[in-house]
Amino acid sequence: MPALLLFHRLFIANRGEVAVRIAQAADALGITPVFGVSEADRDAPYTRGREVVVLGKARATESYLNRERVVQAAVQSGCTALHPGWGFLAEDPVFASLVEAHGVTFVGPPAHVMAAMGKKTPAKRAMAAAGLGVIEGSEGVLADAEQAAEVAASVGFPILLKAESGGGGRGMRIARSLGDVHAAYGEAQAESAACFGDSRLYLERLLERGRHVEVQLLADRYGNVVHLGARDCSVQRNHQKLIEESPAPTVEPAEMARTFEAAVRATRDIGYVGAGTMEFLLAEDGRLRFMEMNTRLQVEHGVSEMLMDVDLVTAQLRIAAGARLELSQEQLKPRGHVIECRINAEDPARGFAPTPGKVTRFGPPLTPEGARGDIRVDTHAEPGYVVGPHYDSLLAKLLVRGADREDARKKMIEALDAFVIEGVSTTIPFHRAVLSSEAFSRGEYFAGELPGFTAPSETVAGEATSP
Amino acid sequence: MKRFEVTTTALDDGGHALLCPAVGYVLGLPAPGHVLMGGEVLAQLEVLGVRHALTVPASVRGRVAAGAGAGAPLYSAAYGDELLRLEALGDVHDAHGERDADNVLSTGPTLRAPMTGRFYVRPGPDKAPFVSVGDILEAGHTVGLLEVMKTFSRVLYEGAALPARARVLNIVPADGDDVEEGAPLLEFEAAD
Repeated sequence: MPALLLFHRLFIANRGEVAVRIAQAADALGITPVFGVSEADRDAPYTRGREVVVLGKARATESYLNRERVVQAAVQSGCTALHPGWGFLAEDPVFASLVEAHGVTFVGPPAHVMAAMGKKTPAKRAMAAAGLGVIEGSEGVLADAEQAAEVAASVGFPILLKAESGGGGRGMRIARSLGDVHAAYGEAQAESAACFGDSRLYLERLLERGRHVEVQLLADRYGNVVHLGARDCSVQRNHQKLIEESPAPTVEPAEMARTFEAAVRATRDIGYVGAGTMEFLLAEDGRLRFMEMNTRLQVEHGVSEMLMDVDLVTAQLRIAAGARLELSQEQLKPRGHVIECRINAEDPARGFAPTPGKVTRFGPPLTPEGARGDIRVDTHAEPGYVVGPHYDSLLAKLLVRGADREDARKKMIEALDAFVIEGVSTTIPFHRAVLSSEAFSRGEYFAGELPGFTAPSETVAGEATSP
Repeated sequence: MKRFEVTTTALDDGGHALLCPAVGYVLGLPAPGHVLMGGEVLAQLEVLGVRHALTVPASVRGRVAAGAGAGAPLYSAAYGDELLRLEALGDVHDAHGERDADNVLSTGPTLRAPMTGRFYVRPGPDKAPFVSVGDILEAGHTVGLLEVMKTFSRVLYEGAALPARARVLNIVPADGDDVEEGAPLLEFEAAD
């Protein structure tokens, strides 16, 4: 077999922790990474000694979200591949096509597959055709509020009206009875038009007491697909995941196996390439129902990497370069149980208010002697790092592997205790409270609940000064 | 073809550094000795194969000094990279293109930004502003939104040093401006 021709220079169209993770994978493969940075990140510690191209101002629309600038920067820095990371332009099919049109390989799925998965009803239809469970609701987009009322009456209340081009919790409204449908339809339509430039809506039955479970998938360019198990990401606040773990502790093995098989089939059917994630809702009836597919690397990918002992980012790069999957499903064996806590620069005692500022001390827990590989810290921070006001609050991800869930939980509490961050408030106390709770330990909670944590009310008042 | 105006920084010797306002190939930068006037096209900026005009701000002029990209046929520039240095022309003393001084009256009580972030004076692009000049405010009144790390919080008229009731004299930032912690947001006079 001929040796794989890899890229020599990779453009990293992202910042912070994911930029560090991608550079690490590039280094491992002997590829030179080039960082596209905003003015605010020009002197970020992770760019020290690295090649950088300054894209523009701190405001993301003038740097990380500016398609033309990012692509031009990749071209003129001599890069032949571009990794979009997550967030920013990672799921923008127009960007993916623009990258490829200028002779740079986009590390991700083909643009048309990304576009299809970005629209909710084609995605849902493709998944149902491959045999995945889906949430009962409208056949495609709704014509008007009258039709919404008819469909709602047939699937049963409560229902959720959702934006066809939506995401991030925007453009959604709940209707609990027939009387609510018209108002909810109007509001969801207006918000969808404003946020996504597409006012079309579809409707699903609202399943309230569920768990968020997602399947990690990896596909090459030749139709070979494997899954890397399932993660449970039910500990969320305002749709922001805070704790993830794998294997998913509350799914029946038969349902899990059936879903893995269908998810792999669906991935192949849609012509997917690279790393992707299907998100499911585990409802009270024990069935997994497809919600959406994220056509990119996930923040929580490390959970599956640790569990299965694979490197998803080097796999993404090799696949983009045309390599075949080296792993067969039979070779992928989960080892123990992995939990991840997202350490954000937020103050849980003040309603998770962001806490920009200087990190004066930063001491991640050390891997104990003899247990190498059981603790992992992904971060772009170091002592003296300044959390700026421009971007999100993720400071670090702490991952711990245990022999089983209970062992991982205990080790995570120890690791949290050993993690020293001073200068900014973080979510560490929140994680300690959740992991120490009965509810978390027994696994008895639903998506969106914060087991073991009671949130105080949140307001930020202006500070008054007299001249 | 678009026009991109270069950004400038004033130098101590009265000259200016001209900085690239985007990412691209800069073609045909003038050679040392060439005199550039305000508003003139100084070179072309090629972005993804399309050539755009790079212009000098109206308030800046000078003679191209040696160094940076002067005279280079093709100069690969990132945002903020120095393209040229202009020496002041003998007869021009003050041609700096800096922005106006702060729009601050700063005599009365002032409400300041509690954190560095982006300040919005209205709840949405098509909504009315939270407050207008001349409004009378009392404690708890929302004056704007502050976006910090993608999270929006309300900024309230609140604080021991502010009068119980006050009339808005001035709203310092424009909608969507970036503000530093402690920067003035609103200025007031006491109202009865």
